[in-house]
Amino acid sequence: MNPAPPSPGRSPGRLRRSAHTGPGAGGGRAAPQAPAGRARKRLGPRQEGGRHHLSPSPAPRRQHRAPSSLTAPRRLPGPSPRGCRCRTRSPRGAGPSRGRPGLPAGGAGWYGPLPWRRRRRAGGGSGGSMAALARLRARLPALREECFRRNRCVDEDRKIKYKAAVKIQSWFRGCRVRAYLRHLNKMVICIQKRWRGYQSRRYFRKIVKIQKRWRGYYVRKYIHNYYALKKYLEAVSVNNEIVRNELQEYAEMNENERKKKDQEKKEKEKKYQARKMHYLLSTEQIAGIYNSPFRKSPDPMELLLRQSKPLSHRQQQVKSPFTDELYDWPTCKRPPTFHAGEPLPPIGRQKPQGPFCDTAEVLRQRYKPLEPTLRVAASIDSPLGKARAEMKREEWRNHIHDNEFLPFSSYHKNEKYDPSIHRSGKYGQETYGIKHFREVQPNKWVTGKDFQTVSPSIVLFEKFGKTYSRCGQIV
Amino acid sequence: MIAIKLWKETVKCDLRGNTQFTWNPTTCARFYKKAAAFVLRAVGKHSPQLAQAVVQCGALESLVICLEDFDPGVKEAAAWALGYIARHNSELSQAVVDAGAVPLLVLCIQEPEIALKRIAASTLSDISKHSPELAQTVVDAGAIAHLAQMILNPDAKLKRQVLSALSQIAKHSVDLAELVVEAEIFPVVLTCLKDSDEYVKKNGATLIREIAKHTPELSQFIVNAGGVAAVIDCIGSCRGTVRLPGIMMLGYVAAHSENLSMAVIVSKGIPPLCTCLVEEQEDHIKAAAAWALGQIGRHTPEHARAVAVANVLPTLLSMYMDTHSSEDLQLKTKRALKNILQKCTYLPALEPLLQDAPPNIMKHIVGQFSKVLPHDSKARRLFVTTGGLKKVQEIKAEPGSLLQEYINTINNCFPEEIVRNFILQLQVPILKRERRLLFTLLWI
Repeated sequence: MNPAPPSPGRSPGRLRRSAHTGPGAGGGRAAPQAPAGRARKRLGPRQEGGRHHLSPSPAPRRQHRAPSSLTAPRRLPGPSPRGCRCRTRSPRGAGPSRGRPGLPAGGAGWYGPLPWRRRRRAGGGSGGSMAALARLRARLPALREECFRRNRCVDEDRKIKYKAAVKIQSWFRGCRVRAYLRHLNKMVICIQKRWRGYQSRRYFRKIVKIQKRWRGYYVRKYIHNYYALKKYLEAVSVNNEIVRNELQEYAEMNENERKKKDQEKKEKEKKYQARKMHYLLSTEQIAGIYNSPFRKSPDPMELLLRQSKPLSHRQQQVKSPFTDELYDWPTCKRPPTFHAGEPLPPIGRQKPQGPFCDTAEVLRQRYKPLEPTLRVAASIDSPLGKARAEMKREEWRNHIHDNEFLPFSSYHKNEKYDPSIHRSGKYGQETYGIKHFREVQPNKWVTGKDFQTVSPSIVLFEKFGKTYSRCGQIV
Repeated sequence: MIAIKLWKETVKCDLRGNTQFTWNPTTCARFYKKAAAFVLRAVGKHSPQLAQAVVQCGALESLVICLEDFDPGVKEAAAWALGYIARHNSELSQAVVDAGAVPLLVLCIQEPEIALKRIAASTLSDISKHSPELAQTVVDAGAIAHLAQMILNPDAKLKRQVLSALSQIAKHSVDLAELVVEAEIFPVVLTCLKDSDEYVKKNGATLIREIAKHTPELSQFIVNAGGVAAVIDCIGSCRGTVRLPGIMMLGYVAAHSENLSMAVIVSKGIPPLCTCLVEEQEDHIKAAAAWALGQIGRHTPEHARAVAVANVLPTLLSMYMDTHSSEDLQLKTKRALKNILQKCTYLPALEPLLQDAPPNIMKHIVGQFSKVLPHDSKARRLFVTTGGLKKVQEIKAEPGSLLQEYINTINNCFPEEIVRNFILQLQVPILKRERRLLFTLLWI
C-alpha cells in the first residue's frame, strides 16, 4: 500500500506529532513538544495506540481526505526496513510496553503484523490479553474523550486551513486579474495615444498653413524688415558722413589754432631777440650785419631791428628752484622755509601704559602759544605818542652832553665856581702849577755854579731853563 | 625703512598738529603739509604692502583733512597721495573711500586750477576702477556731471584723466554705463577722438568701448550718434597700442547683432581692420583685429562675403599657420576663420585657401563648397577651370569622415569623367590631346 501523499487538508496536529516523534526516537516522547500557539496534548504511546484502536470510527471521515494520513506520519521518521509502518514504531516501543488491542479487521487494515506485539504476546499468554482488554475497556471513556477532542482540534485546524487557503487563493486571483487589467490599460493607452496624435496632426496641418503665412508676413514686416534695414543703413552712412565732416572741421580748427599759437610764439621770440640786439642796427656810415651792401634789400631781421625799441636792462628774474619739473608744484613760487613751531616728540617711544593722554596733545597744550585778544595785543600808547617818544629817543642819542644850552649870562649868575680837583688843595689853592712848576731848593745846592757841559749835550736838554719865562729862574 | 618710519612719525603728528595753524597766515604750514603729503605719496606708490603701512599709520584721515585746506597745492598733494594709495587694490580703495575722500575729491574737481582738476580726476579714476560698488560710490557723489563737463576743456592731460575716469566707471555694469551716457557725453566725446594727443584718443576710444560692450541698445545708440565712423577714422590715423581700444570697440559692436555688424560694414570698418592686421607688429593687436573681423563676418553670408571680399582670409590663414604667432593669436585667428567660413558662400575668396589650409580648416572650406556647388552651375564651371576640383581631389581624407563626405558631395556635382580624369591625372600624366578631348566632354 503506497501511502497517499499528504494533502493540504490534513490535520497539522499529526504532522507535528510525527515530526516531533521522529527526531524524538528513543524515548523523547515524554517531552511535550507543543507547537507554538497551540497547545496540543501529547499523546502517550498508549493513546496513540488507543487511537489506532479507535481508528475505524473516524476513519470514514478521514478517508475523504487522507486515507493514508495515518500512515504518513509514520513514514516521516524514515523508511521502515520491512516496508510496514508499524515497524517505525519499533524503536519507540523500547519504552513502556504497549498493549495493543487486536487490530480491526477492516477499516485501516494496513497494519501489518506487529512483531513486537507478537513478541510481547509471546510472553504473556491469554491471561495477559484479558487483563489488557480489561485495561483498555477501563480506558475507553477517556479514549473517547480524547478522540473527540482530537477530532475537534483537527476540525478547527481544518477550518483555519480552509480559511487560509481561501484567502491565499483569493489574493492570488486578485493579483492575476489586476495584472490583466494593467495590461489592458496599457494597450488602451497606446491605441488612444496614436489615434489622438493622428487626429491632431491632421488638424495641425490645416492650422500650420495659416500660421505660416501669418508669421512670414509679420516677420518680414516688423522684425526683419529688409527695406527698413536698408533705409536705416543708408541713414547710418549719411550720418557717418556728417559726423566725419564735422570732426574733420573740428580737427582742422584745432590744427589751425595750434599753428597760430606756434607762429605767435615764434614771432614773440624773434621780437625779443631783436630788442635785445638792437645795437646791430645799421647806421648811415656802418652797415649792420643784416644790411649787407651786396644784398638787394635789407634782411627782414634788419627791418625788425629798425622797428624795435631797445630792451632796457632790467633785473634778471631770479630763477626759481622750482622751474624744473622735479618738484612739479606749479603754485609754489618761493622756496619753502620750514618753521619749527613746536618741538618734535621723540621717535619710537612706546606709548606708556596707563590712562595717559596723547603725548603730542599734551605737548601742544603745554607749549601752546599765547593767543592775546586784539585789545590786549594792541599797545596802550597811541601811534602818535609812540612816534614822539621815538623822536625824543633819537635826540637824546645825538646829544653830546645833557646840559641844556642857556643863552644869557643871567642864567649863570648864581653859579658857584667849582675848581677842578687838580687845583683845589686841602689848605687853599696850591701854587704848584701856577706859580712854579718844578721843585727847586737852592739851600741844598753845593755850589752856585751850574754844571759844566763836557760832552755835547742833548739839544733838547740844553733848552731846559732857557726856554721858559723868567718865572723858571734858571737862566 | 627706518627713515620711512621716521618720516611717517613726523608726518603723522605734523599733519595732525598743523591743522591748527591754518588760521594763522604767518606760519608756512602749507609747505610742510605739501612735503609730508609728497612723502606719503612716494612711500605709498611702490607696492600694496607699503600703501597698507601708510594706511595703517592713520595717514588717510590727515590726508582727507588736507583735502579741505584752502591752498590748492596742499589739496593737490593730498589728492595725489590718495590716488597712489587707492591704485593698488580694492581694499585700499575701500579704505580711501571710507575715510570720506570722495565728496572732497568731487569738490576738488570743480576748483579752477587745472593741475588740481587733473589729479582729482585721476584719483577718482583709480578709486572707481576696482569694483562696481566703488564706482557706484563715486557716482553717488555726483562725479559724472562734473567729469562730463570737463571733456570740453582744451587741456590734453586733463582730458586724458577725465576720459579714463569715465571709462573706469562705465566698465562695470549696464546701469553705470547708462548713467554715463545720460550725462550727454555723445557726441562731444567724438571730438576727443580727433584730438592731437594720442592718449586722449586712446582713452576716448576706451570709454566708447566700455559703453558699447554691455548691451545692443547702447551699441545702437553709439552707432546712431556716428560713433562708429569716428572710431574708424581714429583707428586709421593712429599707430600702435593706441588703436587697440578702437578695434575692440568695433568687435563688440559687431558682436551684438547682425544689423549692427552691417552698420559697421557700411561705415567702411573692414579696410582699417585689415590694415591693422597686416601692419601691426604686436600679436595682441593682431589678435584683436582678427577677433573683430570674426565678429563682423560671422552673422550671415552677406557679412561673410563683405569680409571675404576684402581679401583678408588668406592673411588670417597665414597668421594661423605661422609658427611665430603667439598661442592667443593663433586661437583667435582660428576662431575667426571658422566663424567666417561657416557662413561664407563667396567662392572666389575661398579658392586660394584650398591650397595650404590645415585639415580642420579645410573641412569648413570644403564644406562650404559642397553646400554651394550643387546649386550653382556657373560656380561649378569656375571651380573646374580655376583648378579647384583638382585641388579637392588632392586632399587626403579618412573615409567616413566629414571631409570625405563633403568631397563626395562635390564629386557628385560633376560628371564622372571629369572626376576620374583628375584622379587619374594625379596618378598618371595624360597626353595633351586626350586631355583636350576630356575637356570638350565637359562643355557638352
